[in-house]
Amino acid sequence: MARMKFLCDAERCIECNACVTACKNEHEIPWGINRRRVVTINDGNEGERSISVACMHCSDAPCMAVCPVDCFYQTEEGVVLHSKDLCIGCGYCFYACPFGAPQYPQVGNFGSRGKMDKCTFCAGGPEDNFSDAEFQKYGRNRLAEGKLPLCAEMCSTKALLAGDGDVVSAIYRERIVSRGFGSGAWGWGKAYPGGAS
Amino acid sequence: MLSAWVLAVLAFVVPINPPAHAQGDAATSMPETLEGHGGPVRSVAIGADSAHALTSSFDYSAIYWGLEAHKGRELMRLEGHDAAVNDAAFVPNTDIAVTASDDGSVAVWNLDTGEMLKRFRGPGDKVLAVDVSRDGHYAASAGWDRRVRLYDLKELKELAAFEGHRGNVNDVAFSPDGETLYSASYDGTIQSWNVKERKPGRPIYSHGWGLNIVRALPDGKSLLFGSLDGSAGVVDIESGEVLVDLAVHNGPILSADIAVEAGMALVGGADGVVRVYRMADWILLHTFENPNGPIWGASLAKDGTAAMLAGLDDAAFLWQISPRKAFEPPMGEFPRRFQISADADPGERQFARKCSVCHTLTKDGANRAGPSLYGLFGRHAGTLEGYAYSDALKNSTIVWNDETIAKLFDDGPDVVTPGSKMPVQRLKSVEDRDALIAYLKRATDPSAASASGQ
Repeated sequence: MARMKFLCDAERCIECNACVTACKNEHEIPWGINRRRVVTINDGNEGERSISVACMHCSDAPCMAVCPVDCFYQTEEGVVLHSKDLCIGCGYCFYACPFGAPQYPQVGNFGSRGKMDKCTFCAGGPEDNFSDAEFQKYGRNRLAEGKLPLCAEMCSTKALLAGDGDVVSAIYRERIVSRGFGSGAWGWGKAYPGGAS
Repeated sequence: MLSAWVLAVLAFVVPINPPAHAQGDAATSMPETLEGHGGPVRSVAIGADSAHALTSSFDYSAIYWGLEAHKGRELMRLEGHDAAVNDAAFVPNTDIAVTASDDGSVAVWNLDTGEMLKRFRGPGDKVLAVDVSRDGHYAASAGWDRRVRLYDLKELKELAAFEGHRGNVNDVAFSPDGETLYSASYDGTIQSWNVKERKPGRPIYSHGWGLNIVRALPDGKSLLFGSLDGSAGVVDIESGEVLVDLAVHNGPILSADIAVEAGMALVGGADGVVRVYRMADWILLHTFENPNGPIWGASLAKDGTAAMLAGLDDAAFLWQISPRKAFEPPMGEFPRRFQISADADPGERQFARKCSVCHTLTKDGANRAGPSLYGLFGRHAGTLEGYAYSDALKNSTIVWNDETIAKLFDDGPDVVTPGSKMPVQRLKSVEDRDALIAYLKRATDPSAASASGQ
């Protein structure tokens, strides 16, 4: 079975934020939450780079290791998902994630802290596929429809790639050969050390 | 009760447990651990007198400690927050402390009496950090409502709620002269705020990646920062230029502290690595790798010979920096209670992974965030002595049994016990729910000798 991975080629990202908008629109994500965002480093200076960032669905996901209520699980395709029925909004995963992926809605009645929200690789959640509950809590399940994440589909420069890790990395390798350098796949080594699944 | 000041003097002149190899430095006079919390410890702060400390925890409390060799002494437990306490800070030269909580509030405490003197309630979003000006006049908080709040500790009133960050605010720090406040945010920037005029200052630095940590350095000209991408450095306040790139961590930077007199700075990360630098030239002096995971809180002793560290464990522990001493982690493959082997009883697994961070099964509630479940079946909700229930549960008519517990996890605490402190959780699988109930029935039965010992 394919191991799903994201790859952001920082040499190609033009900070258009189409990926951010596509994600928000597809999943009807409320105000204040961005499952995906574009980070720009060295803004306005030499070496400026932009990177589209969301949950990378890490091989050895640090969020899973620190969750005190075991709300995370990894699908057979390597997608890291979580149950909002179990999440207690403690924020420990936020402190563990090197990509700043976990988000928390701006609510805060005592005892009903906001449930964590993050990128699902457009793979829904533990509810039944295509159910209203799944869409309401986690967004659309494009993977179950045979489609890939919309953020990458919408990327006009194909800076953001999503899909079978072997295919994605092969495309990137071709680019490196073609352009003669290849330091742009930010976060790949951190999320998938040693190319592990 | 004696004042903290008197206790500090007594601790100095009449050591109750004199250390075997006392050399007069913090490393040999501090306790190895601070044990008393019933959940992971989020922050630790050693007092300026080096004789006291404050810790805050997931167990909804903060603890005021007397630091004596080998064992910390719990002087006061600060209870009153309705959710995890994320940070706690001393107010210099007073018996007062300030705490920040997931319940969205900032509280001011009398350490002598344990009384909550004032509670500043925000809109409800998490408050992650507090700092206090060196003169003890002001406190400031960093909130996930994207605001930095300024408080007058003498008048006990909120002075300002600064808006300007475009993301959660994760940390705040006063300048050494107390006139400027600096804040670090998930939006990747450090901003300054004018304390006296209560006005926004200016953007200081843009890192791109979210910033978790900011500390004002003693020269008054530079800031120490730490980011979620694992990078840490020193930035010039005037120019916004990065003056020093510190060693990159393999995970977010989550803690930092400065020992002004010792001229040392400490940076800790989610990777469990703690690094101590000499601030004069930012040479790396010491590195420590915590085998038990992230360093959520850290505090350097004034003389820089030791640090107290906190993370996923229920205790803060001493890292003896100089003379260096090896740290011996707890034995066992699964050091924390919610990490258990896959072949455990299904109900026990459910309890360990979903409930045990907040509840025990023994008579002693062990100061967890929730009450002990010992003798649960047949108990009226909100009646266990010694646990500070919410009014919602105190007034509840529920009696806990198979049906009511099943309903609690079918519909969730927000429906069954609305207004209680219990976070909303539901069990979707009937098998998991029934396994959990069956396990609870066995393990909480006072007559059963086979309680798991959780």
